[in-house]
Amino acid sequence: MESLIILLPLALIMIALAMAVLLWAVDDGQFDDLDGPAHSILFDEPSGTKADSGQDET
Amino acid sequence: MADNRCFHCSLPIDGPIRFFANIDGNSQPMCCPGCQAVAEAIVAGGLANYYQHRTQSASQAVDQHLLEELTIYDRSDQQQGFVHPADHGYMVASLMIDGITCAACIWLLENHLSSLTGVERVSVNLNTHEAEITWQPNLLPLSQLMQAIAQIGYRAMPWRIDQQEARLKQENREFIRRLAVAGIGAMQVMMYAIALYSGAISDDMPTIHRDLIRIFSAAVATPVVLYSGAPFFRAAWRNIRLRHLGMDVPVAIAIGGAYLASLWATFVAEGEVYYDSATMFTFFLLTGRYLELRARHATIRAAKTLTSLLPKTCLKEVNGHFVRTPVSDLKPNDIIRILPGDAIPADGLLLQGCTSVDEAMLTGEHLPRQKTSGDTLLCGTINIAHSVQIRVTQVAGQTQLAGILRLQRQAQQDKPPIARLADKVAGWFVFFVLLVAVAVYWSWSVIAPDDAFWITLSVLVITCPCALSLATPTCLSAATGYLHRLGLLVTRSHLLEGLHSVDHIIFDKTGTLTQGNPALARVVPVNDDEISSETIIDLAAALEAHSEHPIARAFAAQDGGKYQAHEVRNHPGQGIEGIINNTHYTLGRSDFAAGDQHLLPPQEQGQWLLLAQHQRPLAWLQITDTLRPEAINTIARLLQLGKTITLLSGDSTAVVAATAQTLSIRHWLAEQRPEQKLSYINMLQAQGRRVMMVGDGINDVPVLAGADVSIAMGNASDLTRTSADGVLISGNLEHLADALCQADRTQKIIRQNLLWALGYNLTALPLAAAGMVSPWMAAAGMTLSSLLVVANALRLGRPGSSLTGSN
Repeated sequence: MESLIILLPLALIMIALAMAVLLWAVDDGQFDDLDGPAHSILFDEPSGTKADSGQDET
Repeated sequence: MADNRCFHCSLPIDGPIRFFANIDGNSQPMCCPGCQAVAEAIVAGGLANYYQHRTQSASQAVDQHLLEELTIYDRSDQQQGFVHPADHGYMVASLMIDGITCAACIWLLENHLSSLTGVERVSVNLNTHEAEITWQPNLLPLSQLMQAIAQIGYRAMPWRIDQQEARLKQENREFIRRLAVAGIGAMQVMMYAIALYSGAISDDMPTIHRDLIRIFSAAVATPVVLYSGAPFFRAAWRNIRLRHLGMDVPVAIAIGGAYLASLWATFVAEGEVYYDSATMFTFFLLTGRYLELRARHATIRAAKTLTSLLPKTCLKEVNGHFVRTPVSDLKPNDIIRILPGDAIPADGLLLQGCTSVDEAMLTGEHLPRQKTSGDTLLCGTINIAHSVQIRVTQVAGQTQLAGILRLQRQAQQDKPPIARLADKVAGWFVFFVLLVAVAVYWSWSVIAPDDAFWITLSVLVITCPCALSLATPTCLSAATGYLHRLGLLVTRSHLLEGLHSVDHIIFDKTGTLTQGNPALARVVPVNDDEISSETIIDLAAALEAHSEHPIARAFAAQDGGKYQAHEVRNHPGQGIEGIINNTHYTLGRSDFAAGDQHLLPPQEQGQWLLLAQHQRPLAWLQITDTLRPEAINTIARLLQLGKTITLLSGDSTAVVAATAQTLSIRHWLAEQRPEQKLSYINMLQAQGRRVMMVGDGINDVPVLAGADVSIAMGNASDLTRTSADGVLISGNLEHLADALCQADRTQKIIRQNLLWALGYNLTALPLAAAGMVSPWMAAAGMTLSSLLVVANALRLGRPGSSLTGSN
């Protein structure tokens, strides 16, 4: 069970990293608008390929 | 079906369609050259996808004269406060964009603006309508940037972040930070807990490993409890100081108790740990609180747009010239010019000429009022017909609009609070638990002094009111999600509890039960058999096609395009005349259309127009406001639910009586001013009735604020939405009845949940007090009771998809 000695601190470091990334994202303003970006991915397509995209709405 | 609507803004097109734009190879109708230009600019920019993706139509395009005003924003002294320098010679401008209706608008704005040379980055916020644009001022002046926004149909205004907005942003970020820490921490603690559980079940885990995992759990749980849970502890402390045992007290005791007991167990190495419960509980509750916070922020933001009801600048006379000046600089006795279509910035007297004014937002009267020189024009109303000059009499705080707002604030303060079941239960429960804990400690210190502290702690942990505190918020968020899908947006959290207790519903008429648009109701020929009704409608429609007056909208849908009118002349306040097939026709007030013949309309009620041929009366046309199609059905359903219904309107007695009769509403009051409406509601409340108000006009604002529960229609002004507890976005009255049923269901499930949670806690309590509950049983019971409560609450969300948005 020596692995515990490595795995436990490793998990601690990983969640510290995850928290740091999230906190950075919050300060960067990425959470200021929670509704807009959800829709915006639908629109990011080059014009000209409209034919196969228009039906997605139905 | 002749559906003459503008493809861009979806407004009905009066008369024959004169403007078209080519979109994806099809020629689409446009209402005005502005919309045509916007649509062409959108297509030319390769952004025609916008029309496929948008979920709401765009605002009607803006007038040209606005564009010229923008040049003042190129001056650096005017840019102060909303333009900030960035790196590499770039500047960042914060603009408030008017006219954003859905996510497609954001896509359109971002793509259109980023395609301009000199623009580096554009981001538009759908919630706040704030655009942040990074650009190079030497390549592109700010005025051109703002013009580019106007070209695609939006209006850009400087966005000067005030303190309140900055605080909202800060609060929002702070909360997400807490939520993030709680979420990640809870997940990790749960991982450790699984190891601990399996170790406890198989009973072969070496103590050293167990203690090691416990210490790591403590390390992860500590920031969750101390940082993420801080708001609960602060609120609980405030409650205790105010000697009021609210829901936050048991929450704080639960989190704090479970955490301290675990710490004790970890470092004294006796007893059990509850880190998983403490962190999960913190995370779930924070999620609920965060949803509440967002709804509250949305209302605060909407309240701020009140100032946008009024124009920011106006044309003021200075030394014989009209100069654009900020409205805040206006003083009584200033002379200002108001262009047609503009809102009037202050109360004032009309100096010369005549015009018609849309006063719907103040009086609820849906047809425009005629004003001649010497009449008073009210702040906030909209000038429709002509460019006029007024002498300012009252500004800012003294205007009638400001008076209504004062009334609203007063009413809101006097609003009777809706008692919160959970808060009441929690108060008693906490009191009871604390009492029991003291008793347990006292009796065990007599029986076995060594175990006293430990058993008391286990009593506190086992009675942890997790399920109790989750019972109400989970139900409310599930039900709120359901209502939102129905099209009823809940902006204040007491709406659902309030809806349940409502027994008296008050409706406004114009815009609420009716559509708020004039429509042609009846045609009565003066001499029978002379001329068909269809011909009369066609003749009238041909004349009205040339009018900008709101009444003309009633004819737009009827226009078959059979006739063409020439030499049409508008006579404001009287009617319209023109030549069709070489015959002279007049349409309007009877004394205008038919000279001095003193004809009386067939009925007293409603508004009648007379159509005459060479001054010879042909037919009467009645203009009314049509009822919403679902109104009759909804009223019937509400009556069936046992609610009393009153129709309370500012409109004339005859019209209100007719409406009430059609809808079979027995109680109605007409010609009510806002003060009278409010006192009527206060009278009902004094009789012990629970009153719900449904309205849409600014004249309803004080009443909405004063009612126990209030709902604004989706097309209401921002101010009206703000004073209401909920907004019926779908505009479908039928959903009101659905919401009432849902509120009853919600209340039932909340009761079930509270009963279950209390039942669990009260059964576990004596067992724990007797020292008979093994710790893992307590932990499992706690989790199980919480899960059961959540699962029960989720039933409220059906039918539909996922609800709370928690991950």
